[in-house]
Amino acid sequence: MIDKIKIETTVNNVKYSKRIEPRLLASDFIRENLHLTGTHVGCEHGVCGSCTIKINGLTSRSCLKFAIQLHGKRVETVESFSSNPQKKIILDTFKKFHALQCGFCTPGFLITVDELLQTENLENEKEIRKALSGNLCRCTGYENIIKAVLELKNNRKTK
Amino acid sequence: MKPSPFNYVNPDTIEKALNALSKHNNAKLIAGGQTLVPMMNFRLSQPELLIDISNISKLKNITEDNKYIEIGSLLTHSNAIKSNCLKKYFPIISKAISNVAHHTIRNEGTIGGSIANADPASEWPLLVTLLESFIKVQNKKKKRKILYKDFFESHFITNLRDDEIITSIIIPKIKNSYGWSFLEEAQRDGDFAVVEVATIIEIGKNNLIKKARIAIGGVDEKVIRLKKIENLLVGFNLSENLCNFTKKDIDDQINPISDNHSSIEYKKHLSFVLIKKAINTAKEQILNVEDDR
Ligand SMILES: Cc1cc2nc3c(=O)[nH]c(=O)nc-3n(C[C@H](O)[C@H](O)[C@H](O)COP(=O)(O)OP(=O)(O)OC[C@H]3O[C@@H](n4cnc5c(N)ncnc54)[C@H](O)[C@@H]3O)c2cc1C
Ligand code: FES
Ligand code: FES
Repeated sequence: MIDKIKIETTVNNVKYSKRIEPRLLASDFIRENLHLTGTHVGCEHGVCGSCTIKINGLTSRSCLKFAIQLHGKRVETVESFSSNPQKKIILDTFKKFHALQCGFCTPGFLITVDELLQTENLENEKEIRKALSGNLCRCTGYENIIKAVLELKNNRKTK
Repeated sequence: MKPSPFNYVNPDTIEKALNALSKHNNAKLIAGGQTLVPMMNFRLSQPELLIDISNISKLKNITEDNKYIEIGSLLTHSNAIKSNCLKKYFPIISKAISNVAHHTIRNEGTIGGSIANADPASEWPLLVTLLESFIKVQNKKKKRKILYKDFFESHFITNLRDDEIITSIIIPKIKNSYGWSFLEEAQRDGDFAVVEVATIIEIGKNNLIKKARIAIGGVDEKVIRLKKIENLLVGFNLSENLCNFTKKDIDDQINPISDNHSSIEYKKHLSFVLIKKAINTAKEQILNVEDDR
């Protein structure tokens, strides 16, 4: 038996202290121990992007992190979006362009787009498609997601 | 829970990490975890002890002197792309590493993890081979500085021993002015390359080629240098046709295997096309810079 270890981590500005096994994936920790089920789990090997979260301000695959590695870190999940005005705009723009159907991939897209808008130029559709290549969507055919991101980018520029 | 049980330690110095590594015979280092954790999720890798080195700040620096740039093994792909020092001396790094996986994976994955993994179709091994780099490793007793050709041995096999940690990668600066190119053909953005080619063409007086380097990945058990073609280019003037070789000349130097997506013949054809294009891109780059002056 491997002993459980106590970790302390801040998720969406709430402090949590939990005892966990080292092999617990961050994605399972967030969903099952913290009951924040907005973070989705698809492939569990880094390909689909649906489990994407932010750790200390940078996007990360929660299926490729262990919960124990979140100790002392600041985590953001999709649940943080509705209460943050900057991020709420991303939610609303996705809604406006109907950039989702079943919604399985959406949390991962939202978190990734939030980061891309801050770090990348995203000059045109081609660059947006490349930047979003790490997030898979089985429903929309991507068109409306690209349109939403184009609008978000243009609005940020004109500000 | 997908991975099998393991104990976890999180040392903050190289010495502590080496200590843990030397004591346990089924321990694994984890840096960015972007290769190891998928393997653990599939239970292809089942370490009993995971040694998380990602908090050793000493391994994250880039330093330089007159002759060399030294990159700490924990430098992430994202930080390599952003580094002004790397951009200044080797703009090819930013270009090539932008092709590693996806944005989010690049935030976590490291140069040390990539070269320890030694995938023959991945970008860091291609650059390390092109840039004739040294890999610095150490165990509890001693340090070694290994030249790229002695480090990479075969598919996913390196000269690194079980009790060693890669601490840094040393890249010699290039004195001559040079042109470079990086070309990759992958199925989708972010996928591993089918074939990847990188070149550096160094020139001397009157645009005569002093030295040429051509590295190619995805077509052999490790990234290789095309020495015969490199030697052929030396002494040529840039204004001349530099691609005086045939597809057979290339075929003779590479050894691709077929996979689900591409046949041997396709990879050979692709190699020939990319090599010619890469040489001409590097050449145009030098000529264009001169036009700007
Ligand atoms: C979806 C996806 C797509 C990808 N696409 C690409 C791609 O196109 N091109 C590409 O190059 N890579 C790709 N990768 C892999 C990625 O680049 C990894 O970051 C890299 O291969 C390993 O780095 P890491 O820091 O994550 O290593 P880890 O996963 O932490 O470790 C990998 C191995 O290296 C060992 N190791 C790590 N650091 C050290 C060290 N300092 N000293 C000794 N041993 C060490 C570990 O013990 C382990 O065996 C992809 C990964 C994913 C998940
Ligand atoms: S579940 Fe993490 S990338 Fe697919
Ligand atoms: S909306 Fe269904 S997977 Fe993207």
